[in-house]
Amino acid sequence: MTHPPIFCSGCSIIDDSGIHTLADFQPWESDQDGPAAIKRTQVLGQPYIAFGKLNLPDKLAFSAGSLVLRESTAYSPESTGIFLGIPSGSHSTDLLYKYSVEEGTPSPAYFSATLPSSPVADIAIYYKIKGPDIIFPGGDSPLLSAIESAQFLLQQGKLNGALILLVEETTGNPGGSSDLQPFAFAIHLQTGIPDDTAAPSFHYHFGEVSPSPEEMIHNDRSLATTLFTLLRKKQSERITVPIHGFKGYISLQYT
Amino acid sequence: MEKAVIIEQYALHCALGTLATSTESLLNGTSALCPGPCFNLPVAFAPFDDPRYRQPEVVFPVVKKSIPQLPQRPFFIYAAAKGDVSSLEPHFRKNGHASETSPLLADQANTIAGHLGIFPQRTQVVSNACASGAVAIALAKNLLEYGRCSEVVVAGFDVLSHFVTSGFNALGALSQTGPRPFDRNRDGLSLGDGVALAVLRYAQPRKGDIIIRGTDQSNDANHRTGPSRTGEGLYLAAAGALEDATITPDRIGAVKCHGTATAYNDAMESKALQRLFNGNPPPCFSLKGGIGHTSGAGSLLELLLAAEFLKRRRIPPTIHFTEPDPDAPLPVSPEIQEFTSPSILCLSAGFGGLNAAIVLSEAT
Repeated sequence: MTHPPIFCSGCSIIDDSGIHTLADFQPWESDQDGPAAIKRTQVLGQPYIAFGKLNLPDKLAFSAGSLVLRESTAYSPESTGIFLGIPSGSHSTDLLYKYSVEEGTPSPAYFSATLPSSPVADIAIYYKIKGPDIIFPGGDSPLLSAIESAQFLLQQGKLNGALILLVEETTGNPGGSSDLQPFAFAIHLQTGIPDDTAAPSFHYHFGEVSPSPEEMIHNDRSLATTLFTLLRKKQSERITVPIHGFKGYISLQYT
Repeated sequence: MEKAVIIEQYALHCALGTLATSTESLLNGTSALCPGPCFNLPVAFAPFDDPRYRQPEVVFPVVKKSIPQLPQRPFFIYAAAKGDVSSLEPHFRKNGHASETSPLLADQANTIAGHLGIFPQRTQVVSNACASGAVAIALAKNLLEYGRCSEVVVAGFDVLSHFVTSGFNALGALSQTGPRPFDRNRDGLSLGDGVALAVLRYAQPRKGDIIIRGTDQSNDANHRTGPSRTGEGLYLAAAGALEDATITPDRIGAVKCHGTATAYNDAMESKALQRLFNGNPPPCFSLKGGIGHTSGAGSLLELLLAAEFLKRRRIPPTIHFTEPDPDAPLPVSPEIQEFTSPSILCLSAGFGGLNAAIVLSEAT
């Protein structure tokens, strides 16, 4: 079976150092305490009243996604899907809702965000993105799950664009590492040739590989960071991904 | 016939019992929903199943007994909206409603794999709100068709909790009189709970096998909790599933609706189906008057029940439906309806505008 080529047309990271896109870097301002304090004006040119009301995972996903969609001017919302890896799910919002119950006034606003899929809703509504979405709140590599499932639908022609997101919210996550700041990553893949014709092709190849130790990617955050770094440097590269349950490699090819 | 993704084995447990008892009870028009308070909320009509079945360590080993050849090294997909969040409500533990299960779906997946006695090659967790189970089936179909694995085990699990019940109550979505899908006097949904388990394989279908023939999904891009008023999103998912299945609407024998019995869902669903079938939809039904809204597990649990109805070419009564709604016209019935086509369309929808549609066919 011949599959259409897939191109990468945007990538962003929000981490403890600041806001990274392929074209720009904004360090945190002196009054900002990392990703949790991200401001609407740092990711969006237009007013968006709801931004200030978003809970942390929704805000991180919306911000990382907005930075990428801003770079990917050619995306078609009707045939774009959203694929979200969010290992701690909605746990922090679950706790906020639980406290509202214990105080005797269950909050409908909190309750409606007590789903791991909550961040997708805000992005889909704001950008009118109507394609299929899949949300992975855990399992072996939520990010590779998102990449692989997006690639299936792009190759089948069910989508011509995919916004892939990883949101790691360590605060309140009993399964997470407490010494890490929250983190968000977004990448946009598409089947049509992007406006930036220098954009690389992107492919996840499934199969047995024998990576050297230095090639190995062990977790989603390091995979996201490696991908972003290579895209920013415009390097053609093969990234081996022997994360449990996954095997093979991601190839980035600049032509 | 070409190779296809088949549901090789499946089982479930809900407030009407096992797959076999639930199928027969639903065909008989039996509802598991009873009037009375639910936890400490004055919510009428909830399933009062044995609360032990809300504990994964109890219910999964029970359901597993109905899967005689559960693969030991499968790809494993856990599908849930919330799964079991009873550990977030310790005040309910002493009356037997809660377990010590982690509220994180990632941890629940590992726990459930352990209760099933499987050692997955890969574990994936899918949480697309109330469409989770259906999306997991669509993902499994792709994994099998792309040769990632030879068998996938999909588990759906969502249990009734004070957490979820109080949330729907706060949203004003719960019925005070019992769910009446597509009835003009419907006034909201009732919650249920359950577990569903399916083993999928890419194989040469034999006569009588249930095939996952087509799938598709969409987002309304409209509202955080409410469905699109136009039905556009669900229509797109359903039309996409038919296209994926390479069949035309006239080949669909019946439709398993999402049918929550809320005013907006049922009206939206009616619009989507009237459009899909050009004003002439086939027999339709909702299961939520019988087993309640079983949340993320529900779209898998109801799919497996739909497979049983497909084998019989009979769909059950839509329980508590008595008076058609001129604003949500669909051929639902308080009686059993029969059909002849070997294909059935299953719809589900969830918070965040998430829609999923699956075409099941019986190999003939």
